[in-house]
Amino acid sequence: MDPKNKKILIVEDDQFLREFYQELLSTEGFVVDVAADGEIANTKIHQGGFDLIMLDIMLPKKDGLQILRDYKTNPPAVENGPIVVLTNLGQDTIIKQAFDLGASGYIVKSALNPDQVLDEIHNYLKVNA
Amino acid sequence: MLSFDLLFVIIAVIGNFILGLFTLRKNPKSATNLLFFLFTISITTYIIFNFLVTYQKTDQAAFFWVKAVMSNAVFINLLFFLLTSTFPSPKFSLNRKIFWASTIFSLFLAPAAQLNLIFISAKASGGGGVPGIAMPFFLLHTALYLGGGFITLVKTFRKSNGFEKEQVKLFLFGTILMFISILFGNLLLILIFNNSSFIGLLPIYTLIFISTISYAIVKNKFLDINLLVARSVVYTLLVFIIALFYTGSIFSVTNLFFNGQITRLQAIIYSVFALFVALTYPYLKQAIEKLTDKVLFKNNYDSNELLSSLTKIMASTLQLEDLTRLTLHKLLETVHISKGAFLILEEQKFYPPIAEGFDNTNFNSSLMEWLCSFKKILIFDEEENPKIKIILRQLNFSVVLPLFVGQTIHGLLVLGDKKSGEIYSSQDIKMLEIFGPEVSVAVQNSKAYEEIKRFNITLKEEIDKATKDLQVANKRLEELDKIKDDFVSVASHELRTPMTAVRSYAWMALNRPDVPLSEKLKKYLQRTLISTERLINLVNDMLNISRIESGKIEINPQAFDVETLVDDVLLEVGPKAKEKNLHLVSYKTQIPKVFADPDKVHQVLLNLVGNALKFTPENGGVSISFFTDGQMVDISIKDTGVGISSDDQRRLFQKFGRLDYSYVASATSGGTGLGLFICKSLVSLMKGKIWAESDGINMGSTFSFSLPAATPEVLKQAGKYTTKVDGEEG
Repeated sequence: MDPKNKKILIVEDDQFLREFYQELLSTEGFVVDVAADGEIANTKIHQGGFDLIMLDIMLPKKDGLQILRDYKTNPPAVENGPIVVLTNLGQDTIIKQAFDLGASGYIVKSALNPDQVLDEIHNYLKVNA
Repeated sequence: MLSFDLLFVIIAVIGNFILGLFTLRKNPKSATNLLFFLFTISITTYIIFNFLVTYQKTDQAAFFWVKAVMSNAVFINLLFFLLTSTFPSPKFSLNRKIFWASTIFSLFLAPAAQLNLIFISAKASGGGGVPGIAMPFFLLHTALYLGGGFITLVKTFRKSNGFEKEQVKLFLFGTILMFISILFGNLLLILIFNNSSFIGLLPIYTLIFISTISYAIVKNKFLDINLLVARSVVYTLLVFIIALFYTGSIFSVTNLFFNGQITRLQAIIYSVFALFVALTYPYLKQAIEKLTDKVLFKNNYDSNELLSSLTKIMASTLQLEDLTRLTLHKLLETVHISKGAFLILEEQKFYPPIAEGFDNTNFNSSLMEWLCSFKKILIFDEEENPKIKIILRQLNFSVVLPLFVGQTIHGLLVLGDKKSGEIYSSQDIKMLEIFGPEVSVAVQNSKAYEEIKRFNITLKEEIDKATKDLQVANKRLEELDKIKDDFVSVASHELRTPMTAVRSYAWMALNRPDVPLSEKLKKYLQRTLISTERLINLVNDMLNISRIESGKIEINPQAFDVETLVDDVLLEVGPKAKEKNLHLVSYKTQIPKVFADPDKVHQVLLNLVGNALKFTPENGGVSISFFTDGQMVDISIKDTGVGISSDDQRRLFQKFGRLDYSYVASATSGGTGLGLFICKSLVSLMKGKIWAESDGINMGSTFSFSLPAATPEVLKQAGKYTTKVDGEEG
């Protein structure tokens, strides 16, 4: 699988983390797009065409669950790959809700090392390849 | 004719004398009683002199006794006047001047009769007499003294009430009848028609007097006397009837059959009669008693019966108003009392009176308190304190019964006149004296009951208020709890985000540098990374604990194969084990599925296996084994690591229960001291157990936990193993 063909959208409001993931994934060879708030994210997700979307839950303007709800009720013309929710520990119900709304998985940001995050991303892409 | 006269005289004399004597003996110190005694004596002598007049054959002898009669009459007038002015007071209260004037006038007039000034002559056998010059004075004397006496009596009659009134009435009635008869038969007939043949009837006139006064006594307040008289009548009648029957029987039998000769057969017959009399005596007595009771105690009642029905009423209700109203009604009805009232005291204030028969129940409360202060039953007719008597008369109270329990007064029971106008008998008083304490206790109980009722109402109000306050406080607490949870949640999120950034960049600097790192820089970056990891773990663990302790963690159990989960975990930690060259192995056996929350079991396994890796030196081993008894499945993680001293084993699962020995190791391992506590909490929530074993320092450790096997019984009661959280933030 060639990462160069894979488009990944990173939705994260924290600038450092957003740029970190961007750098990590770009270095790995992925085509990376970013969104810093819920509205931008929503627009980009509805344009479609991403192989993977990493979606933070707590976002300004529109939170991750709302974005998932929109996506589920109003799917874009151009499909996206799996949506993986970026969460923190202790958000069991949020994770459950996210799954109910169509999320494919979750990544506990604080629990994983960057290389573990990369492993996860590769896994999701592989499963959906 | 003569013998009949004599019989009447004897009866009248004895009757009058006994009446006087009896009255005097009752209370020799009372002026009324003394005067009454003297009055009856004067009447007695009058009867005797009068009889002697009729008994004389010669005019001369008759005239002698007429003079005695007239002198005697003067004293009768005087004594009547004095008696009426005193009656019924025990103290002689006549104005001194009037006393002396009336006495001196009488003392002059009495000898006048002897000096032939009232009557000049008289004839025997009802022939009348010739009045003298002093006759007008005698008439004046009679008119003044008797008239004055009657006026005084009428005044007394008007002033008195209750028994006293009855007494005065009878006294007035008896004396008026007697004097009118005497004046008519013994004076006016003689003076106007010169006929003295009616003077022999005098004893009959006095008998009227005796019977009315006797009646007054029989009906008077002292029941003992009443009873004595009644029983005397019974026995007299009894003896009379028996004697009459016995003698009559013997007389007739002897005369009819034996011609006055007594034989042995007669003696036997007498004995039979005597036996018959003896046998019939009790029935006869009973019948007579019944008869006399009926006549003498017309309004009689059974005290015991009344008291027991009053007790029944008192036992039937605790309501103060019902209690007092019902007992009062029963009492008034049975004893024939015109009116009555309960005046109940509560904290020195009177309740509105519970009254029956009173026109105005607006009693003056200070007067009532004053009546309470005597602390004894007050009876108008027996009361000697004039002040009390006046008040009782004003209030129309005949009896005032204070309601005492011990030293505490609970109020008064006041009773008015009896309907018959009679006074309260000693039976009434005795009954009231028994009833008083009983009703007092009942009133006290009722008051206590009412107080408890009031207290209950107040208590309920207080509780309602407190409950409302608590509800408000509770709501506030819930709000505060929510605020706290929100804070913890936001704070941990806000904390983790920059910490994650720190860790991520430190990792990047260490693993993806674009320039070679010096050894020193590498070391610094490593330490930064470890410390940040520890910090992140700490925040995560604390958040976990906060959620466990506030019951905000969900357990969603399902049946799953725990061996597969163990494999996943081993795969997850594989890289770490490889770093330290640790041998990881899972010993599979035939075990049933467990019924637990896979996420939570995953967390526990990760923690325990992570610990094992952390505390096992390089080239060591970590093995996982399973065991089941059919009900539970045990999962054991055994390592060849540093081990645990027996002292430390107890503290293992406590919060921050990190062991002294492992402290150094943990500084480089990112441990928080909270992991085992979280494991224990999670396992407990899933109805399992967790424990640790170690043979000592450097002997390795075994951490085990058990989970319920997914047996049909367990699956049936899935709810018991589930924990749901309401109001989790979305």
